[in-house]
Amino acid sequence: MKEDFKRVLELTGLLCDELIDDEQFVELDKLLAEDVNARRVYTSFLEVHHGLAPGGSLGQGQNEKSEERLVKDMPKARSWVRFCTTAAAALIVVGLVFFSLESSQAPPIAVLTRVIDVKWSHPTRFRGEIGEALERGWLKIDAGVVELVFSSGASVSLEGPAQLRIDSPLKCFSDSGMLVANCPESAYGFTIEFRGGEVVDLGTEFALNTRVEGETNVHVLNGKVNVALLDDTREVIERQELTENTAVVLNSSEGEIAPMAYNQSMFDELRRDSLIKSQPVKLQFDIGRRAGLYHGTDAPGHSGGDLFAHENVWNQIIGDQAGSFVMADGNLCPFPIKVDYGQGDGEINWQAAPVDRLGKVYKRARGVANSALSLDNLFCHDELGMRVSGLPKGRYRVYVLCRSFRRQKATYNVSIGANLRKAWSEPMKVLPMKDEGVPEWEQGYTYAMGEVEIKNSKDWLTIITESIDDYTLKNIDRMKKAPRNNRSTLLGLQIVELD
Amino acid sequence: MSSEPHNNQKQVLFTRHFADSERAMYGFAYSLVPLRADADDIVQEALVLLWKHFDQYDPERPFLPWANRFVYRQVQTYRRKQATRAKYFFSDETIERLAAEMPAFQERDQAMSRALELCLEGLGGKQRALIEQRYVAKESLCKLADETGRSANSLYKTLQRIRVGLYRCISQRVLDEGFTV
Repeated sequence: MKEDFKRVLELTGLLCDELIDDEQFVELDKLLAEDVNARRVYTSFLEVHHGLAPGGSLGQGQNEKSEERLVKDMPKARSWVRFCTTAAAALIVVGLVFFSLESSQAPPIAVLTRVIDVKWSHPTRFRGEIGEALERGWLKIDAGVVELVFSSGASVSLEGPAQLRIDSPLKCFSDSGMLVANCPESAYGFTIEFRGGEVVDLGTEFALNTRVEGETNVHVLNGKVNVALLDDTREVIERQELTENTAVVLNSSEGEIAPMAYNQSMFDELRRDSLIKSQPVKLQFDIGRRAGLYHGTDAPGHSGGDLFAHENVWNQIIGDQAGSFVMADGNLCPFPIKVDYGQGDGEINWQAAPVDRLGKVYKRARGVANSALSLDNLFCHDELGMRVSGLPKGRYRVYVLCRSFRRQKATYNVSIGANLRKAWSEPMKVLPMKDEGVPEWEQGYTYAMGEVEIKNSKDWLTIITESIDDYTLKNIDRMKKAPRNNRSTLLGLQIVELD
Repeated sequence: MSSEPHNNQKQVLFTRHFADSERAMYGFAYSLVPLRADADDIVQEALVLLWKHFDQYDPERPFLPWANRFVYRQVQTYRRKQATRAKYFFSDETIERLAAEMPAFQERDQAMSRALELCLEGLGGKQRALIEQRYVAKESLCKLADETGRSANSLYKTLQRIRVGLYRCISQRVLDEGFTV
């Protein structure tokens, strides 16, 4: 392995000086294609080569401002020179404001995505909240489970007592503790180092148990990994590829990699599927295409602190649906969910047939009325409903994103409950929210929030609101008269299981 | 007229992003396309595309990965165009893997670039003079060999020794900072 890197350095050097012959180039290409460490060495060496060139560490180029070079480096794109000159001038006008700002636009190295019964060893270092950005440094827990997702896509769940050092999007160091790492394709080459060795992902899920006394067990749960025994200077003593359902023990003092009994069940609780099941259910439904206005941290569930910024996945609902849905954090919901639309005058008819969407009314439906739910219920007499079943027993907070038709000045009403058959006699009154930032047509959107007790998975979490009715329908062609007050449609739902 | 302030703002924003990411973008192109002149052309062309599509850039997301997608796309286009003429091109497999790993390497590369300055200080006078002749004066190895009366091969070996020495020096430094080299 070490010889190969020497060869990689030699061939890269020849390439840099354009002395490489065809055969040597093919050899370099093969070495790079095969080994992530060869690619590391290659890109590092290039960093030296290009760093030596003017503009790098050597010579006067380093004092040249990047934006000035931007102008100078652009002789080939004619219009570009003018743009850059203007832009550079603008920069001078804007002064140092931009450059004194934190220039790092990069995402954090990792984000804390799960925190279960955790006792932090260092409560003051960070808040320990879900969604918190983690930069390079130690993460130490005395008990409980945390999961962090690296910006490379790799996730690591760690059970205390454990100490992990975050180094980069593709690397961390396990000092002690039990962990499971899950590496999607984007995190190929993800490396976990430990005293006396390292494990490199080759498309996989693997588990590590690092003992304080210098012994580390590596179990491959899926795919394969490359484990290496390293000496004190981190030079490779021995390297092995491990495949699925195998395990080894690396002992730094004895200097050997020895096979051991594979034990999947030891890590079951740390695997993503188990963690997902143990976390509160958070589901978001995008019911109307304009609900996009609420996405991200503008949604009421996020503002209300029940959802975190990284929990930003919405399920688009285009009619009655049943099956697999995705939770707000992007994980597959571990149980099937049903979504049902209904309409009615008084009691809701959940079997009401949707309208003919090729008909006249459909073609004329505009704005917030142009959603599957609203279209399905255009002929309803008064109320429209939506209900969700399949949720596990528990208490849920529900944010109903709703919007009034046209320039709705008055309040409108929403009922939120379990197994509702009709609207409450006194539904929740929701005041429209004035927002200067949106066009008049879209103004008046707001939300209602309620709590619902679900006793078993067959219970329906139900939302009923007053909708467009016959009166409005008669006028929909001409749109001369404003619709009556209190008419609204649903645009989104955020459902969060409470502890 | 009314769109001018908006446009200026856009230019300033773009220039700022580019200034932050420029080095990494060139580094990315150099690693995929061995010949520097070719890589420079590729970044130039990618820049034109970047500006054209800058409206589609989501400021919530980091600029560099977005920009590097255009560089990567240009590399592919360039490969197709130059297939018969270019001297060296890596295989698809190598290019794809290098491109996929680049985001992870780039943070390390920034650390390496900082370390290089320190390591250069440790070079002896003769070594530094040779490096400066080769890189600052941009003299080709063959020309340098003529001037110094040495063979290109022996000169290459000396130069490579210095470069590998620098590589090891910066590797050790970034290793101390917690990166894998």
